[in-house]
Amino acid sequence: MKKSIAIAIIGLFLCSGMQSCKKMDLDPLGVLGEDALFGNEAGARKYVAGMYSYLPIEDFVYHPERGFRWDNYWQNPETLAAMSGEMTGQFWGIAGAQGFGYWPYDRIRNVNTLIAGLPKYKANYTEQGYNQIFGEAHFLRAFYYFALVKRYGGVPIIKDVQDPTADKEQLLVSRNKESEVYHFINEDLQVAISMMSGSSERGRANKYVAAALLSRAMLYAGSIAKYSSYSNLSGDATDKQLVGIKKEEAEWFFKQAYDAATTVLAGPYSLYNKNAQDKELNYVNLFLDLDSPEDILIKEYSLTAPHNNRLKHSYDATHLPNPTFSSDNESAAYPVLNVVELFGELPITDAGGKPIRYTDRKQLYADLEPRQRATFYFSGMELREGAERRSFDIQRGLYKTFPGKAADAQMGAGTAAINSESNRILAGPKNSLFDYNGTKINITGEHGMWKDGHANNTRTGFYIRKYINYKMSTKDVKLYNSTQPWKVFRLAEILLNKAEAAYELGLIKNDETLKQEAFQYIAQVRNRAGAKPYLYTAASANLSGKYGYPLDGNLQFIREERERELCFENHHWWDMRRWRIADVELNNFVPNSLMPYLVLDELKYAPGGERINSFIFIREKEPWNKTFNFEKKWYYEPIPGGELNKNPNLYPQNPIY
Amino acid sequence: MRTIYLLTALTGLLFLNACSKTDNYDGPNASMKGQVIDKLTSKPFMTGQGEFSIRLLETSWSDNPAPQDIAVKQDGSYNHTKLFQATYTLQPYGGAFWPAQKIEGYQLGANAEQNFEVTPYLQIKNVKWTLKAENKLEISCTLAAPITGGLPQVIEVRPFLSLTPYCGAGNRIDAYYKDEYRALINQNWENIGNMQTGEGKETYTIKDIPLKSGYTYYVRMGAKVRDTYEKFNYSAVEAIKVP
Repeated sequence: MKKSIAIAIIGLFLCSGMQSCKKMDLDPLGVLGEDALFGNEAGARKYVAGMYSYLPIEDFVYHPERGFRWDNYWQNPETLAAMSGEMTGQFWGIAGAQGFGYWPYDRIRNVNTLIAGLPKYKANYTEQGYNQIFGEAHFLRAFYYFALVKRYGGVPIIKDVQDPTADKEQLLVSRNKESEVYHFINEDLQVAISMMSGSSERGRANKYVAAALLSRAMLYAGSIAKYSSYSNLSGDATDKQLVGIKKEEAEWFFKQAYDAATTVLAGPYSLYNKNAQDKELNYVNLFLDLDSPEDILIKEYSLTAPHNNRLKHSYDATHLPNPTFSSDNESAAYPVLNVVELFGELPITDAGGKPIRYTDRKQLYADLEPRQRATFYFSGMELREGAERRSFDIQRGLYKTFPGKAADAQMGAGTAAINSESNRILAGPKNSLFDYNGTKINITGEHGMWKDGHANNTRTGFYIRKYINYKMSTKDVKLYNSTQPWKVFRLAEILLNKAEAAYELGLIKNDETLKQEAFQYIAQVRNRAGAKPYLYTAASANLSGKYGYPLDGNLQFIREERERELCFENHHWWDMRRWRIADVELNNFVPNSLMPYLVLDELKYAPGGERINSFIFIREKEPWNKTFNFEKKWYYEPIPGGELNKNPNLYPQNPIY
Repeated sequence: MRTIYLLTALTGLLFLNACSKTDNYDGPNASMKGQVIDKLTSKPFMTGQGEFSIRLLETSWSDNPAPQDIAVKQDGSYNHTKLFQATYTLQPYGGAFWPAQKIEGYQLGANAEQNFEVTPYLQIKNVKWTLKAENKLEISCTLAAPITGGLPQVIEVRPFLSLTPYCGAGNRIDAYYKDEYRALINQNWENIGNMQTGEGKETYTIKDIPLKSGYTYYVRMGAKVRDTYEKFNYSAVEAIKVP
């Protein structure tokens, strides 16, 4: 009996699954359909918000080896600047040069869906509203393609929504030429510029944002056209022009970059100059002020945003020393002396080559360019307010005596006679004292340099200041706790884009006026930075031996100005690639450090017993000897292996892989 | 009841037979070896251990095969014993020589021997070394270019030092691979050599290389041009005994 009841229950239960005649093809609840998303402005706004969230912006949470929106926030200092030799750091060097297989055709499909679907609902919009969103979609698509082309060279151009059930042959799309992709980006952005208006809510595109991207992309294409032949990347991909652009096209691309920059400069932007009296503070604030007239597009962060949006970062906690200025992580990357010196030589030796003596480390940077002081923290600079206010205290060690020239220290080599252990006293990792004739003297500074080159304190003698939020309290400087916005496009870059494009055009057309015009824009950037004006000469130095291609002193200055103004903003890596100089610049490159030492036999005491110091600054090799090399194949990243397996038409692979 | 358990357990065994189809293709039982020869000297091509390779494309199955590379040894020889018998395209690939001829449609049998001839970009000649006071090495050489037309820019000349007879860019004492021990050139051949005879005009000297007493160093000079791969052409390895 029991058994039959059980069977009956099971039987009934099975029957409950037999309702086969119900209509299954229903619109799902809780999922927004096309009409809800494309049919009105609020829906479209929601749709593009998702795309902005995944937009390939190389911001604070970008990891060159792991990708966009990378969650391990203690890895925030592993940036493109730590690959390009602008910074050196703890663990990470150039490992990200082959990228992470970025292949955002899913996102591109989302944009294509929008572009294809929107015209159906045109009647629901005002004309201006429709044009704005239609143009914005083209901007977004160009942004994705630019992120692809600068990594891989030519990639397949997909501008329609592919049907997944279509013929295999149709779905296995071949790569386009690198030049064709840049032309496609140009077309999309021209549509965006012509359709969008000149203003938008913060963080979204408008006409000028599209023009800013256009000027950057076309400048990249122009320099690749001009210089790619010098890097001699041969192979099938080069023969088919999947990588590299023909030299004849350089002029057209530079002209496009020039014109696009002109469009942006006609817009409502101006260089940030709210603290014109104090150019140093002005330059620091430029990166922190949310309401800056220089910003063309920024990406904002928020501590309250849901975590999976990755809308907070750890820039402060991973670039400042713990515990004085950070209460969580420590500094894992610091600027190298070579970049500091790009702004102008530091007064460290006198005419005879002897180290200059300083009673206070602050004197070293007193007369330097304001922008230089605003970009780096030198030993002696102060940070934080009130009780938390402290100086950066960086000291490598002590010399009992240093009678000779700076060169006697042989870049800090232990084998130099003056660096013998009895004369040069180093210590660490913890602060320790040296007994000099009965007086105890600190051997190292609180924030480095320790003997073993302690990883989380500077090994170069500097900390980064650009983008550091000095208004935070030290107790708030923690992982996942920084929200200063990232500058995607700012006006200074556009001025530098235009200067470079103008000068390159002047060279191609042999037009002296264009060349001189370039330096108007350079002058604007330098004036705001508080830098000395550059004296233009038509007959500037011939630097052709440097990279093996024609290069003059003026163009080199424009390039260096770009590095000075945009360093640590994830530009220089791409710039070195498009100029085809990375394999020369990063050939066995060991960064230099600037090490402050106290010279003991020169110490004096004031009548009150106060010590009068005698500091010297010695240029040394970075003590870990971390070496940067650039393999030539890295001018392009390899097409991801998984994609090649899915679609053999993507062959040939990029050169040398 | 027990029978039911037993039967259930045995039923499971039925599933284990699913993979009974056997792989009846031959394993990789072909081998291939040979020598890369310098076209000018007819001697083995001078290279470092594993610095370039013989690239094999197995064309029997697909138009876009993934390349297989057989590394070439320091004496210019190569050897691979686990290849499939198939049709291949062969080419010396990625070394410091002018692009080499491809051998297409090569039918690889069980045992094959295939030599390749390549023309180096540069020859390193007249290598002279002297050991100065305090065991400082001074070493010099000249260059020659077998083919001058279209030669990429010459980048640099530098010495390679090693404590074993294996010496080259991959087997080197890193401390000597520094900017101070190299001659940076970055010049086209017309500025540094004769375009007709191919002889270089200049002697490159690297001075003050500090060596340690009591060691035997193996030294060779290398030079490279700005081609795609930027590998070095070398001189012969010489042993230097430091007293």
